[in-house]
Amino acid sequence: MNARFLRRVLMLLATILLVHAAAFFLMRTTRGGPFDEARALDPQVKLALEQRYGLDDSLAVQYWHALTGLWQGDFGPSLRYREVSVADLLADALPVSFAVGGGALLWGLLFGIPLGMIAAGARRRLLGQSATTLATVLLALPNFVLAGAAIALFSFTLGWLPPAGTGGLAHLFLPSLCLGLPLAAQISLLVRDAASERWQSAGVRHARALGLSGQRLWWAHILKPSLTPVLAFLGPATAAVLTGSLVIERIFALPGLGTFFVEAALNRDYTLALGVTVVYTALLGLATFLADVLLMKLDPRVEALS
Amino acid sequence: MRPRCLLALLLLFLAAASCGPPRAALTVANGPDLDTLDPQLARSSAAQRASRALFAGLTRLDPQDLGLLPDLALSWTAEDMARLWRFQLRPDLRWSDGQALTAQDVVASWQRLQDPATAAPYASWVAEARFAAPSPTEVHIRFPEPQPLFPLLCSHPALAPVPPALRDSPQGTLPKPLPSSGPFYLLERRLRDRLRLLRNPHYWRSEEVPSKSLDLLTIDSDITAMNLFLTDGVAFTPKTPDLALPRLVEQQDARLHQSAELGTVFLRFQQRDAPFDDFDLRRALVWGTDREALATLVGHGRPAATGFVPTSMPAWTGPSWPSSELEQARAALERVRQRNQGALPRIELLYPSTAGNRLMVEALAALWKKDLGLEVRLMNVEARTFYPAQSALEYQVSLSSWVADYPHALSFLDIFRSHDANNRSGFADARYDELLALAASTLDEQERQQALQQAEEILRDQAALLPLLEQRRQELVSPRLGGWQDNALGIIDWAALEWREAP
Amino acid sequence: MSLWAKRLAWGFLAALTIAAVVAPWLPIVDYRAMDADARLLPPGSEGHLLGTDAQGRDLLARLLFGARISLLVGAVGTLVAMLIGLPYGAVAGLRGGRIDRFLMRLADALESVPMVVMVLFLLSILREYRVEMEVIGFGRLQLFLVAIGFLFWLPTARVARAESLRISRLPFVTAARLQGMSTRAQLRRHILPNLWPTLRVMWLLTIPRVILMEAFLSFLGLGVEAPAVSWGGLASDGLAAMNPLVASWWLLALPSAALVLTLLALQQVGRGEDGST
Repeated sequence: MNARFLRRVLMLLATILLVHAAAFFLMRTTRGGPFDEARALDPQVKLALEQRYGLDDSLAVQYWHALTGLWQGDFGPSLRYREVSVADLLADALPVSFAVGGGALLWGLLFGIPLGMIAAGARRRLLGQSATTLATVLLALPNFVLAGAAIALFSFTLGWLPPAGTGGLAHLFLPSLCLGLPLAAQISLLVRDAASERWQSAGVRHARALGLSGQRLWWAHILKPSLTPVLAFLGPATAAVLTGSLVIERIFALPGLGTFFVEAALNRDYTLALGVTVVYTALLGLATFLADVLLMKLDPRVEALS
Repeated sequence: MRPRCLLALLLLFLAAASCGPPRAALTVANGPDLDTLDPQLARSSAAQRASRALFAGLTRLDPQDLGLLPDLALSWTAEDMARLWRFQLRPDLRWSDGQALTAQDVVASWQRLQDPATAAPYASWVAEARFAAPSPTEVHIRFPEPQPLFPLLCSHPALAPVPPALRDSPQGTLPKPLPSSGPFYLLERRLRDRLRLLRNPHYWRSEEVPSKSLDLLTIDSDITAMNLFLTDGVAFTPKTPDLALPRLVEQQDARLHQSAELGTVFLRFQQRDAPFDDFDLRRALVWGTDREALATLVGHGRPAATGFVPTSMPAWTGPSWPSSELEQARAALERVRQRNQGALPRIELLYPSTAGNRLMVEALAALWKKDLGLEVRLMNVEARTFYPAQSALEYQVSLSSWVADYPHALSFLDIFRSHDANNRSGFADARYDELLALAASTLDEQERQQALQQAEEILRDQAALLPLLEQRRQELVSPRLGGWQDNALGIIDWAALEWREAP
Repeated sequence: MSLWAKRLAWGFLAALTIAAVVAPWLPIVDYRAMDADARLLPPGSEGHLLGTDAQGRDLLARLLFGARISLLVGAVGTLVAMLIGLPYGAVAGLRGGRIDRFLMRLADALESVPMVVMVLFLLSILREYRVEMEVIGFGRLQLFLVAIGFLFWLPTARVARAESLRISRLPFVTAARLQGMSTRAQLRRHILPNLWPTLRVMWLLTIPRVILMEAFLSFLGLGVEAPAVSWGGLASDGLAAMNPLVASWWLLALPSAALVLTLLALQQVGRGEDGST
């Protein structure tokens, strides 16, 4: 276990290095720089700025600086937000993203598992098929449409919730719902497939033949084992959801992390883009690892297989 | 057990995120996030709006008619053909932390602005000036050339004095707290969320400021800002979504404030190289573009431009440009065709990708096709790719816009001087440069206006660019927002605004 | 249920594809033509069955031409993804060991690079060489298709790897290997043909994701080049319609409905005979 743990950590570090390098060189070979704007800067001013941020060094030197920064856990100053370091930006944005993403995970599990069970349990009836269709529709809607519809319903028609902004739990409700619904749809499809399979498995047929039915059958023999694929899926999904979504953050005016993945690249904020990339990679590694550990606890066969 | 742990953790996150700040006395949407709080570095209109709430200049503009008013300075006089300006500061000025604000602060601030290490975008305004502070309330500034418009520039946030703490803090950092000199001071900056400002008791007219606190919200999307506005979440939004405009206009909704903006949307021709080094081709487009039709289709309340400098410019009467003179345009195009062995060159229109720009170029392409039989290829690139390409003249025609820094035609025509960094078109004309140099230095306002008019005539006669639309400020202003004034520069007098109880 | 649902879905997709293909010859208005006198007409207006947008452009025509782009982006983008992902994954799965680990680690790393960094890089590279590309008939749209396909090769590679791993352990492949068959020959003779059924499903399931990605890029303003339209672009343009001030609901509702119906049909078609996805 320990050796494997160590190996995974090393693998994660190697991945981070690779991602860091890939992101750095991809960005730096893309046309345009952080100080190219509608209103041209005086060439001298631009030069001074580039010198301040070390953008006038050779690419190799800059990469070396980025690498040593990474080693020291210092991503440097943001190029877009003049007085703010990348660390500050991340520290401000992460709690918001975690709150919305956490809420989305809750919604995803809360809706997804029952929906999947309904779809599996009643799969030959209209109810089950409607559940499947609902999930598919949720997956097919672009999330900006979903968010727009949610705002139209809850903020304008019913007037229950604020349409955007920060300030309290009420402000988190809609964004986390809109982020969580597609997640719920995916979870429900996974649960449905697994539960259907379980339903037809020898074990369950045996249990039914023995007269087991109702709650116990569903709970112990069908639901619990059906959660294995959900857990495997939740690893990467958690990382994705916790790092936020540009569309949701823009529509609900939330200062989360998701916007950075897009804006940093669009603004050529190299340091920030590298920062969020590394954070995302680390989160992804961590979440996958946790999911694997949980998976092993739940189903010891997994360890034997891998 | 584990799922329960996870659940508890999630609830904890939710709880942590749910404690937000109490509502401010006045909350407004301030557009996309500020790149900086340093007034000397501010470029975006959002940053400049915030700067004006925090920092007072020596002068300020009357939000009603853009006339020049005293602010930190009581009075000013010019000497030596406006090469030397003397400002008399108000006595007993203070920063928001109670420290005295003296002439020495002004001088040190301008020296900081001048310093190349500051990398201030407006450094050129005081590039070759020398300063002195003969007494704590007197500032002298001397230029090698006459600077008749300098007091006007002093109303711009870039020339506002900055506090010692900011001047002393290392490059790229902000002191905490940040003392200020304007109607408000900074309580808290929540990145990409809001600026929370409180009334500055040391501002010289702080008794007139009705709002105790002010929140400037960061909102990237104009649709989101409108949604918040409609639910009374904000009292003001700087931009109305295009799709909402027809209905607002049709219903004569009083919440929509449309006012002139000192800006023009235009096309730059890259006239150094083929095909637009061909005068006839440029002229065909300048003559053959139906600007009225364009304004009807995609103007959303913005009128057709009648020239490069917008008609809303104070004291400006510019030369009139031809519009939709199709016969002449077709004739010019025919000459191009003959010179090109019977074929028209392939034209590519470069534009920065936003939804509004896309509509504009689509309409242009449709109009040119209909009126001139001219095919044009559209090519969008995101902004950070667009501007370097434009600067490097790697385009044929490109969509552009310009907004004045200060209410004078000079702020417009300046950019087409041969070596101006914003020229970006390859246009170069010695006579034009002479006229601009004259306009910048003459003391006679009439002579300046004449020189500038002649300069614009040169632009027109050479078909150096194609003006399309005049910008409009399209703000949503709540009827509950007291003290509001529309004006062409979008200057908000934060000291006058007040959120009133619903009637 | 699945049989008739599947037939319905096939029928819908076929009709849509035919309509999209023949759209330029249909007696409908030019989808680019603006008309100042016919702005924001609701559906059912005379001459504009599905209404018009703020510039008076016919929404039906725009939806039909949008179908051309969205379906093209979906189908070709996915194809590009498969052309890259398939050999990559198949080689990784077949060779196994160190090569497999290296290839998959590289794929992991690329997957962590923010998508927009990738998009901007690809678009910028492709733009740099656009003159050369045009010589071989590669226009802007084609470049966009390649770029968007490039974003999706990783999932394809993963599936291809898992499948080829499974296939390579089947007795007949092992036998071939033991007889000294070269990797290339194994790939061509055994692995690739047997990958086909999985890929068919994978292809159908990836199309919706590619179409949604195009919608997202349109939301960012990085979508297909105007005057071409896509459903995602139309929907994101109509987003402002979701509030009481803008009553033009059709600008959002109709493109969204087109997207949802198509993606539903694709999912229905891609579903296995047993109803699994």
